Amino acid sequence: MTILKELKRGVFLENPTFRLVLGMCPTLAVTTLAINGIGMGLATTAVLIGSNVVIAALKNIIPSQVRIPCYIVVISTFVTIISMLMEAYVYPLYEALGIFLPLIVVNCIILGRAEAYASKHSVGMSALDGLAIGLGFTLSLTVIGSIREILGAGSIFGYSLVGENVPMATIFSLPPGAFFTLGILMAVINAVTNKKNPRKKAAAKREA
Amino acid sequence: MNTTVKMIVVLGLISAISAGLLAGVNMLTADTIKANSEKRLYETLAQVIEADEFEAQEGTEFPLWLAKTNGEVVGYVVRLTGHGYSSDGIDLLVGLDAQATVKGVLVFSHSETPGLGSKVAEQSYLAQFVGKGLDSAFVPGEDVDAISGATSSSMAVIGSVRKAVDFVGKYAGLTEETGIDFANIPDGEYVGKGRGFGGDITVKLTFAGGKLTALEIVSHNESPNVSDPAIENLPQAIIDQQTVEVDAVSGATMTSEGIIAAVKDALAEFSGEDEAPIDLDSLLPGKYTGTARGFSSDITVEVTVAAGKILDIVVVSQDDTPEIAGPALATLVEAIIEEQSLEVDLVSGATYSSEGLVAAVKNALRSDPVVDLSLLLDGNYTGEAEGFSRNPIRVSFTMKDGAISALKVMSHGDTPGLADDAFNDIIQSIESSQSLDVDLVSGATYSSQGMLEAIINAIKAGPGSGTGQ
Amino acid sequence: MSDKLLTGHAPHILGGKSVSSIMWDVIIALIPVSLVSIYYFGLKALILILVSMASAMIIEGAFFAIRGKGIKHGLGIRDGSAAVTGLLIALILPPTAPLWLAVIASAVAILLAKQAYGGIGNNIFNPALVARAFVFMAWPSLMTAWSNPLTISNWLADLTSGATPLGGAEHSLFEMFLGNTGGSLGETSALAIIVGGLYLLLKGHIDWRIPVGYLGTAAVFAFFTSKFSFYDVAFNLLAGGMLFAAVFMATDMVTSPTTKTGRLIFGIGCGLITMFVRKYASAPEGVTYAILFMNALVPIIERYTVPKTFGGVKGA
Repeated sequence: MTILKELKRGVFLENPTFRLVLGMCPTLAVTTLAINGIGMGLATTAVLIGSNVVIAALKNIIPSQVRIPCYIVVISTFVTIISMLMEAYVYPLYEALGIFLPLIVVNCIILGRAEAYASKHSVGMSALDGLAIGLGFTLSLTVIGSIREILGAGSIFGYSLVGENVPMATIFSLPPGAFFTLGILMAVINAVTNKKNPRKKAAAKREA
Repeated sequence: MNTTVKMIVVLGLISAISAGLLAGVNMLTADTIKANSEKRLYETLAQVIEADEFEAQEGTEFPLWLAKTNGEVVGYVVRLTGHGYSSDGIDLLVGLDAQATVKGVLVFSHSETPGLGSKVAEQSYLAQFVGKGLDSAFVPGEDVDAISGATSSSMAVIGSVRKAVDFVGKYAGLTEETGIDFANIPDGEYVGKGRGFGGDITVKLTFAGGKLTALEIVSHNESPNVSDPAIENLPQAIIDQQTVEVDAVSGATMTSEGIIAAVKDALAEFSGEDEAPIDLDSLLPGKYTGTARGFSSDITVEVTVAAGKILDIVVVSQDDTPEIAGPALATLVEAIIEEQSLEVDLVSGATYSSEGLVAAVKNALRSDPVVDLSLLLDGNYTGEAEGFSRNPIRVSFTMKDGAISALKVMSHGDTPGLADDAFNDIIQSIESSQSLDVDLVSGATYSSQGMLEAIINAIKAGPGSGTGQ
Repeated sequence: MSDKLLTGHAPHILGGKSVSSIMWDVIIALIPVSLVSIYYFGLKALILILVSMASAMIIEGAFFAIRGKGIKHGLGIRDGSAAVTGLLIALILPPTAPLWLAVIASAVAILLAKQAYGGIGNNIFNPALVARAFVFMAWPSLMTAWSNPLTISNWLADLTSGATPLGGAEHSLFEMFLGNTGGSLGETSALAIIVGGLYLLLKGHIDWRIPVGYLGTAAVFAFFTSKFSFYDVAFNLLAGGMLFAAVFMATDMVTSPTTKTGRLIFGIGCGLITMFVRKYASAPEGVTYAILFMNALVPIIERYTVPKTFGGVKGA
């Protein structure tokens, strides 16, 4: 039960992209294709679980004065390991993620979870939190990536959906398309959640 | 105290463990990464030419790989960067066989407008280059196509492929090297620009006595310290070696390349690839006719030159839209005459007509003129040229108000009598027709030709000067 | 006179009647431009204009219907603002644009640029230009498929592809003044634009400061960057969409500053950016981005140009 609840919290209630609005840089930059979204999401998830576990394990040893440098060292170690592994074994994805792979180090989701969650909870719970938040991030990026790939390139996960001569909206493969997609998705999600939540709905009505 | 120690120890330990872990993973993956990257490179290279192995060459103008099959060189792969619409270059690989014939072209990175300029990166466009070689003109619309609406991007790719062909042609010894020979550069100062690390680098070169005597970096925006070695040492190296083909200063490669590019730019008109420069001073007075392609038709011009100056340019015929081309060409003609140079700004809105006019004038000035004696300045002229014998024919004449008079042969070593008669005939014809367009005297062709050459040399030398007298 | 109407604080919720009368005047002012475009680009132009206007109005109506507010709240339909947006969109598309492109552009303008910001009077960016920027990035090859104007003798013929003056085509200044060149539907004829602009000016719906600031800056810029060539000045004013945009786009009262000085600054900014893009950027035309960029600066411009008497409290 806890596991399901935690996962629901990470993927939906505290979705890092649409609810916490964290990690916008990779969200906007790499989601030109669905596969990039999944790749970036999973790489971040791996780092997140690893750093959460290590930090939760060391939380009593790390002096609070130097906790941030320690977190950063731990996080960057995981990021570097992941990027070396990816370069060796899944090079096309490594190349597609480009500079944003090393930049996972400064993804605020990871430092944020380390500080807000892992430093206060057990190893097991922290691993679960890393998984849940990571999956939420992966899901968001994949959704954005899919939408952009379908509209911008007429394909999904590389499988072409339309004929060769259908002119697709290139803008969705370009940076402005990322902002449009994210903005519209966020608006839709807010509209849906506000409708479900009667208290918020009333508040919205009052405002209107 | 205790906390401080703990802080240092914990952070130190974490860092040490991290370092150990990273070293381990690095050892584990390094070989795979290296093997992968080589494999990828070869896979990429193999896309433009088929071969068993590729061997990278060092110290070439462009990155070059020899493509080998069974140990024999079967072709080359050149990597170049062309500049299209975007400020970032179009990176491409060109595969060529041993005869510098294009086997394949691959664009592996570019930032051209997606959906428009990006079409030049597609194989459907690049396939047209296969089979092109040293004898191809690479002229859009003739032997290669440009994508409409993406002309700059297309031109960048066409230019790069052409460069690759020329480069391999030279490298493989199929064509002769045509570098810039400092000894052939007329004395004077030359200014040029090249792109360095922080922007344009401007250089000023001074040539005297067939040698580069000074190279001054007029302006640059390179980072201090980093670029210093290049800025301090490279100009001296170029002066010492009297060539542009010097090695870049390591650690300041971009700056070095910028300086070299600037020097090349300054001397661009002398590089073998371009045609000889037009030296107005050496042109005979008279009318020159030339033709070049404008916007929708050929533009023919008649250029009048005298005393080393362009006096007048008449557009004899052109069918470009008269209302725009007319005023645009008039503006350009005015600018060329005023600046006495063909390096004038083109008129926007009539770029093709403008370029056509400039090209037509260039063609005209490279052609043989109809010498017009009436354009000569007043004064006494003397000149000499070789006739039938080894002794030169010396002539002198006087120009007054556009008329030639007192033309005489002062000395010559040709057959007495026969030559003298010929000279007198020619003097009569020239003075009566006031033109150099006269018939040669049969039986004394060399003498006649020698005399006319002597007159032309006298005109070239200008009044009051001359040889001998 | 006109300033009284325009210096209110945003949002400009004017009475429905005055908004719609302004919109009708704008449509009247756009009639000469539309007629010239039909004259030069044929039936294709007329169909594009009609489809674009209809789709803008239908989308606006549908939006209000779905939001459950009913058509009666559909201000944009009643006041004609959706029709104006649709017409403006058609006029900044190339004549060869497929009809679905006009529909998508209208949808982007109405939904993303207008209603997402809260409807008429609340939008920060000019809806028609947002639509153009969007479709331009989405389908660049369709948006640059220019065509040559038709001649009266074969008015029903198919359009043939051709370049615009900024794209290298060569036309006389007089032809560019009349509009006998390639280009977007509404941008080619300077004459028709000036006629429409004068009408709006006389009616007091636009302020001379914006077009004058815009075109003046561009003219000065062209003069000094072309070594003082008057031809270049005339060419830059007549080529591309600058004249059309200076008269009909930059002057949009919702997305331009409300202060007089602010309008001048706004116009000058548009002129500078347009010319910088034309001369130095890797794009032939910069009008769209120039105005959108200056739209974003409107709050700042207004903040620094509010007349002193308005800011009674010191340090406010």
